[in-house]
Amino acid sequence: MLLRFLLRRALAAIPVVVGVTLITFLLMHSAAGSYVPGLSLNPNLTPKDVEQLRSELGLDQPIYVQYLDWIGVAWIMQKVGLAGVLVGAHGITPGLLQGSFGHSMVDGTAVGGQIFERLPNTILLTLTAILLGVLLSIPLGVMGALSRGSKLDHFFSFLSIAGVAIPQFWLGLMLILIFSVKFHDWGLPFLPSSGTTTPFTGGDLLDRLAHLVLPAVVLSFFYLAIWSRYTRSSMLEVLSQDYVRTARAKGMSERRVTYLHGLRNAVIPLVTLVGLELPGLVSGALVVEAVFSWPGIGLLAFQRALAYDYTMVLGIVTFAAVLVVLGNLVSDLLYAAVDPRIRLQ
Amino acid sequence: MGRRDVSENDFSNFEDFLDAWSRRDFLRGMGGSLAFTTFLAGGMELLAACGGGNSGTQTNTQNAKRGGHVVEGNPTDIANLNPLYINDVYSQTIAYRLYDALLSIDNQANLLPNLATDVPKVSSDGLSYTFKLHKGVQWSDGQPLTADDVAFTYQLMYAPEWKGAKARYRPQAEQYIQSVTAADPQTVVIKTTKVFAPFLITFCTGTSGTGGILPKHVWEKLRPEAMPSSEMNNLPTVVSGAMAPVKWDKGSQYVIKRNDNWFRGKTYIDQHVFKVTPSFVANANLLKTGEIDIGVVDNSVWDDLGNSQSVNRVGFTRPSYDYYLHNLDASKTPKAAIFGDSQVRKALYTALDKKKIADKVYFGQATPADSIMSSAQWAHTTPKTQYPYDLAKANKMLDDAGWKKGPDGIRSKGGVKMEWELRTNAGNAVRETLITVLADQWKQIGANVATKPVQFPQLVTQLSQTRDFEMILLGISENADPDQTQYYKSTSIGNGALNGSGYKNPEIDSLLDEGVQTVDRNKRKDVYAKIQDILMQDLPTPLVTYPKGLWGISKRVQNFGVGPWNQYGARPWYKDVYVSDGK
Repeated sequence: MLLRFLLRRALAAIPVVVGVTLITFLLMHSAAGSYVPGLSLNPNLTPKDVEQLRSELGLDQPIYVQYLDWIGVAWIMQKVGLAGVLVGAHGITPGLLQGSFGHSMVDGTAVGGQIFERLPNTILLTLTAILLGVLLSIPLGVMGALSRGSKLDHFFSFLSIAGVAIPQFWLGLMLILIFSVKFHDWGLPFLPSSGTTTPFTGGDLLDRLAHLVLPAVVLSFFYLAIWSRYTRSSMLEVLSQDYVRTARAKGMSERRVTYLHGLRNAVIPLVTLVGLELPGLVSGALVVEAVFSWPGIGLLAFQRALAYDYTMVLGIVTFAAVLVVLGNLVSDLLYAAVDPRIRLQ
Repeated sequence: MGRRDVSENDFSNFEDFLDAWSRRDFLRGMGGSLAFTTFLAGGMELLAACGGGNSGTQTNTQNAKRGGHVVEGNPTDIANLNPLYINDVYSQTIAYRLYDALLSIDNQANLLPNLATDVPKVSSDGLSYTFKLHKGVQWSDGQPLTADDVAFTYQLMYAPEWKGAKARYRPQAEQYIQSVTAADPQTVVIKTTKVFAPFLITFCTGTSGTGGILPKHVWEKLRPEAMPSSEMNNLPTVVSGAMAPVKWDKGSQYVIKRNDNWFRGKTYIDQHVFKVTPSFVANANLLKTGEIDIGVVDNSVWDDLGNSQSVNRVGFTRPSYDYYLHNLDASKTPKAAIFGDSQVRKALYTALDKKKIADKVYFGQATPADSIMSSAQWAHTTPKTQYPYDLAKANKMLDDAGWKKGPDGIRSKGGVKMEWELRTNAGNAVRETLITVLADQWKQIGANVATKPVQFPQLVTQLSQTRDFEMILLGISENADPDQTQYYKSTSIGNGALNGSGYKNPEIDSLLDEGVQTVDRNKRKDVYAKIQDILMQDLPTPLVTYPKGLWGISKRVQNFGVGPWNQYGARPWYKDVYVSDGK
């Protein structure tokens, strides 16, 4: 059952991933200027030089050949002797299917290598933020629901609206101003505001944690805001259900009613929401990463997009797309695990 | 040390190309392909330098302490450190510490000897240079650095058998280098194909990116095709400079350490960390908290940084300018009918309050322009023809030229309305503000100007290829040599060259040729003075401001003499940099 489900989902994912690669590839090709903007800027390049460089980069090939080359199909075709089909093709290299994302157009490094080098940083940040968000949003949501209409509930509502309404970059800058710059001015211990470690001297656990605090807090505040609202309303809904009343009628303690019958059912929607954030684990949190110069995937994608590093951006988008598909799958599985009413079909 | 005004120090030269190439925009523009293979550029988009904000090379090491480290913050990670491929200033800052070049330059863009014992004199025919190398120079692995290494490095750039290495400056090298040979282990002879005054500064100082000498015994083992993607481009194993690489944490820092084999002796500092920071604005905060020791800061936070007790500020006119180009080519735009009238160009320039622009748009961190090259250039003069702000005069000039105001306040002449579109590169806050300010000022003399930010690659394509624009505002980071061929010569129109306005003047053409064929600097200066006079009268591309370079330097860092020509590349005082707390 589970196997069949997984297989079906995997098959369904293929057109999605192919579609994403195709769309991304085409968008990149129609991006501003020529595909290689720098190429035509050099006063010392003759049109012949430009032609040669374009040829070296494979840009003179038909676009479908370039696409097939990039995803690795051209390479397979070449291996099985079908290269003749690809009119105008040359310099075919292993592509995505062979596990190669190609090389960066900016610094010549392997795209895959760059991605996997940034991945731990991004996972550290987003996982910390998600864990913080989950761990805090459930109790806040439950407390809000149980004391509905109270001052405490209003305060939590205020917090969560603020969390959604305050832009992350602003919150980040304010926290830097207070906990980094001002604390430093006041002679207090201050939190570092950029990077993952202190250059040169840093790198121990405490140093890493100190660097993690501000970005993780900013990122989790957003999660916290949304998830606590969901938990609260979901909890309210559950608590008004018949089976809760029945449980109470049976004389079950309020504590057991709340946590056993109430909460267990109330967190189901939360599982979906958290599951939806799973791709963010690897695709990164662009704004927070940019504000705190956190060397993660999001920042990499952002900087390389601005630098017209097409291969890098293509690699990251494809990578993220695959993970979104995977994230949704995991979320479905989790959903089934917490809610016996939902069956995998 | 307080804020510095450059005019006091009379700094000289350097940087270049569209200023957008520098700093953040640099990478943005470069983007494209293996940027290193494509952007060979003529000593252009790279910055470099020498000299000092602290009045130059005067350093005091009497109380210098050994040991410790400095952290320099930049918003961009490095790309490629190989002198064959370097294409951005941050990579160059590090590469300059790793690989010495034959020559270097001081704060006036004067040549200094480096690996060579002296700056060579050009031969009587103007075509060859003989360099004597220092004896006993060693690579970091103990091998001797000889004339063979030098010849090998240049051959990688011009010799046909190394074409596969795709050196970034190959087209230029092929154009100007006839041969580079090792006469004996200590003697290098470079023959050029033609007399070219900017030769040494372009090819031998590293200021335009190329020039650092590579270890032959390491690189000759590679196939040329393997060179562009070698890991040694990012983490060289054998170097000759003051420092050697330790590690590159991608996206966060690059660390270099003292090279004890350096032929000039040991540096005081043990390590130099280049940290990737969020932005030039954030640099100010990081300087305040001591998370970085050195960094460029944004105009908007300059005054605030002055409140910090722990940071010195160094500001100076950097070799760059912001300017606008009229499209004078009637075959490209009907607006040439407006701009073709020199009285109109003069009136428009007279209607600009450049002082106010410098104060408001640049937060006071720019100087109003007075010529067609920045005051950081040694060849800079202030031509007699100037256009001080005078609205009444500007209006009168247009009236006299026959441009009459219509009922809507917009001038017209012979059915041509005085209106056009002014473009600049999107994402550059200063320039986006600037175009609206210019439009506003010109509105006051009856011109209706629409503004439009455009993506940088598109803008440059319009400027250098299609030329289908009306008016463009851009920045230029200047080259260490004052040659203006690519901006004003009639052969530099289209095909990627930068005479986007389509300016044609036979007199300027011949003066530009004379400029690059005259080796004597004093004589050259006269040539460029004439060029500046003529261009200030003709005004094809009026300059608005000379922006400043703004650095914050922790007070614990001594002798860091950053200045207009030594922001990123050459730092001849580097050996004397020390940290007063020894940490």
